[in-house]
Amino acid sequence: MERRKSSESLQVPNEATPAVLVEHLTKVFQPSLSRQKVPAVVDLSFRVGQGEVYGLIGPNGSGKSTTMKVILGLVQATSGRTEVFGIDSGKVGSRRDVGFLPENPYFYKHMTGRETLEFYGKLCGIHGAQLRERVPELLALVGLESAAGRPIAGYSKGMLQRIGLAQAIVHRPRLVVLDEPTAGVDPRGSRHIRDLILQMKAEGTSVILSSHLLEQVQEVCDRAGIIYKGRMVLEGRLEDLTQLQQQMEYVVEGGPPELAAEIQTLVERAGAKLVSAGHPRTTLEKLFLESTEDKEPATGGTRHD
Amino acid sequence: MTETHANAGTAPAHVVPVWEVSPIRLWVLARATFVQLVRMKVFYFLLIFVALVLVVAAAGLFWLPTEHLIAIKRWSFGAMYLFTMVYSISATALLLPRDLEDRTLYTILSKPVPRIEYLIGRLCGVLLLNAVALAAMFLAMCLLVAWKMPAVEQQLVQQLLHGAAGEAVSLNEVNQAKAEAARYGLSTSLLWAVWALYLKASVVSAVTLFISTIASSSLFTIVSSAMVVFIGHFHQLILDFWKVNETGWFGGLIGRLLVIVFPNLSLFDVVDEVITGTSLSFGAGLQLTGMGLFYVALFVLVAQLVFVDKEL
Amino acid sequence: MKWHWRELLRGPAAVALVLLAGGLARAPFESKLLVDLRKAGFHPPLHGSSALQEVGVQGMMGALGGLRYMVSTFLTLRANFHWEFQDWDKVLEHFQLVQLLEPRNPEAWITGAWHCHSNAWAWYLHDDPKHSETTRRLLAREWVERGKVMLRQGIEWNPDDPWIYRDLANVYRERDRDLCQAAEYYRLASLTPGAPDFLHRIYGYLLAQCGEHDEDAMKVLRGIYDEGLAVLRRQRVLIWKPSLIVEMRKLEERLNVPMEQRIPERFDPEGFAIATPLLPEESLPVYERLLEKSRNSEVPDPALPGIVAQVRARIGEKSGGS
Repeated sequence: MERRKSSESLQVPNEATPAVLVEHLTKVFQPSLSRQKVPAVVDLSFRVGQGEVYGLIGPNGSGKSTTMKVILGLVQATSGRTEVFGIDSGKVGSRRDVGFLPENPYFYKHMTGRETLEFYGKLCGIHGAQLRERVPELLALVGLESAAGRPIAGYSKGMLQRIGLAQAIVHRPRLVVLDEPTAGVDPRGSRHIRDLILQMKAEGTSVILSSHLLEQVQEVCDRAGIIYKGRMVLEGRLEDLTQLQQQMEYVVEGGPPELAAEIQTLVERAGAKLVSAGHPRTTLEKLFLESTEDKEPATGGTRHD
Repeated sequence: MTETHANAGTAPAHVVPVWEVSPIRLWVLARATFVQLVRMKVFYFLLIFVALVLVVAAAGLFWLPTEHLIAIKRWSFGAMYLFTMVYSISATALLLPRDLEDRTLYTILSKPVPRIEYLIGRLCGVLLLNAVALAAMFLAMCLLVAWKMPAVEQQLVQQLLHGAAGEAVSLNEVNQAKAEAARYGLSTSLLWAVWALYLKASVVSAVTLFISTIASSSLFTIVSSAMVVFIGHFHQLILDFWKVNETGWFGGLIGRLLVIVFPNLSLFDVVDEVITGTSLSFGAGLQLTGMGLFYVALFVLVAQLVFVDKEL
Repeated sequence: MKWHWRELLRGPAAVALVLLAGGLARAPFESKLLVDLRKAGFHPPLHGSSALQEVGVQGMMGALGGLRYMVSTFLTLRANFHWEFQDWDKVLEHFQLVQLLEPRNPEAWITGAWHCHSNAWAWYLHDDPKHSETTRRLLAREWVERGKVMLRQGIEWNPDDPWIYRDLANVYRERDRDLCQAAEYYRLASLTPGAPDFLHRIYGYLLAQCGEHDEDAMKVLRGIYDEGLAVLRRQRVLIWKPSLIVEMRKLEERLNVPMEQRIPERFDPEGFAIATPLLPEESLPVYERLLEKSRNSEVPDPALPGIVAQVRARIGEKSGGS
């Protein structure tokens, strides 16, 4: 089959092309009947590499969802550039390889779980045998085989979230955008979703994830960005972010080996045991709270002001 | 051991050139809309319709035999009109706001679905519902008219024999009486009438779709669409009013603007004459179709102009 | 920033622009379509008695949209309800509303007028318990006039419908005994497109009976007779009615038509044999009534006994055969 020549089709992404590129993104809302402009996102920049899991964290109203909507083309940027696999996210073509799970999703209540997946599959251009194969596979993956024939109207919140995740990946996208995927889901369901994200990561899918469950972000994400009042205040690799380099304790440089032995002796004399020594770490939660207070955080990683 | 893959596999869907408007996706959206509306139990109305028309058909309320046929057709068409107008407005007004509220719109539009496709797909679903409902009601009406026809013919011939002329009749006159009865019976013009009704409902759906892209609530959409339908029946009146009253250039300008911007829905009101035996030519029917399609296209276009930039 | 022509096609201004352009583009097509539809009998221009009335009718139609026929049927049923209680004012009022809703429906005028010139008329004349005989006669007359006014208005809206003319003619014939006026309205009825033949024939009879237009009447009846003769010769089917012969003979007497120019005394009974198979059961009582009339009249129709015999034979054949 001859391929159509078009600016979109010719943009074949390679490994160097980031899954998502956000550069100087600004989004200002102007509510109707109001002159006051509301900036939701200000000069935001980040990139998500292929196969990378990126956590977008921030308090409510910080601009996470708006950023995701711009990436998905649901909202237009006021200024700046957003690309998905090298294609402007305003173009329909950019969504060919994207799956999205919105926060607290609802689906057509009249459809069953199976019909929902078939509906979204067909929208993505999957038909026939391919779809018949894919739908049970997804239902098994999210553990909804037994509820597949029931109307969505009777689904619990956790089930909705899982069917939402299944529809997001129905067409095997290379990027999955998850907005609060575990919001309102019980710990078991939450763990299931986390496992699915880890599975996607293992298969090389890029994931953008926003969550309030920072522990979960810490568990699954390679990198994370903290947004506050529409700005990126902190961004970097999780390892780096959680490493408190300026508050190193028990770190002695150039000290004689006797010193270490002496410390160990002191510990043993007190009837205790020295398990490890090295760089101490903070928790992501602590980091998050510190970052979103109106004061200068003092941590490693890249600063964005 | 079989392994389930979350997201791995061959032949990714994105190789399909999806930036073009895809008839398959339109059908998927239209079908989903149709099923959604059907599962809202809209077709219960059809049972009410059949009951109503049966009552009209069975009741001996009418003096003249032809009036009986006319009554069956009038009540049928009246019920069809009511159904199509109410559903065209309320169902269309419901779709977009509900999708937005339930975030279903996010999941649909985050797939490679152009917004125009979403709009047309949803509209087609409503049009499909109207088509099925109208076809069913029309069929029920035709069966009733066909059932009543021999009795009416007989009555007319009797009238001719014993009443009007007061004397014997020729075969020619009996045939004339039968032709007279046939004029009130089933004809191809009735098909045009139901088609014109369908076109009108389609235009109203397209207008409602356009308004729902601007409106912030279903209620506003319903009220505004009802207003458009109302004004849409007053084109001639608006023009005549300014002619009669000579309100000056400003009044004339406003009148003309109204006539230009609002669809002329009374144009599609051919049912009245068709019921009483006037026939609509193929050419005029085609022109009506063209006008209906033009209106639908126009309002889908302006709906897209608004929707394409809508912040979701 | 790079500007693109598509920027023009955005926002409320673009919507207004497209709607205006669309409206202007469709205007000529819409006008042409309206002209075509009007030619075919749809959306006829209104010609009420005043501009205000036109606006009123249009307003009412517009307001009810496609539901006006349901409303008008409902009003007709309500009118019938009032009829049961002889509340004639209410009947009239309801029919006037029905006529406002569907002025182009002849039945609305015919039925409304029928209630006036026949039902209300008869009730006032015979059943009204409240008034004296003189007042009742006056009121009855008044309702006949109301019926006539309604029929004339109906004709204004429906100039091509034969039945409103016919009903008005019958009111002149039966209520006013004005056969010449009745003949005139039958003539108008017979001129409408697709009018049945008998309207022309009755026009001829009434013209003959009104006494003022014997020569014109003779011309009309002779025309019908000649046409029938041609059919008889060609198809062996007799389409004359006995009344035609009766009326023509009366006219021939009055006009002193020379004997050789008069219609023959007897005509071919074979013709009837061909004409009568048509609906013999339904025809028999009619022919019997005519035979009875003919026997009592000054000029009995010699052919009628033969016709009745033929029809009876046909019925016998049918029942015997089945």
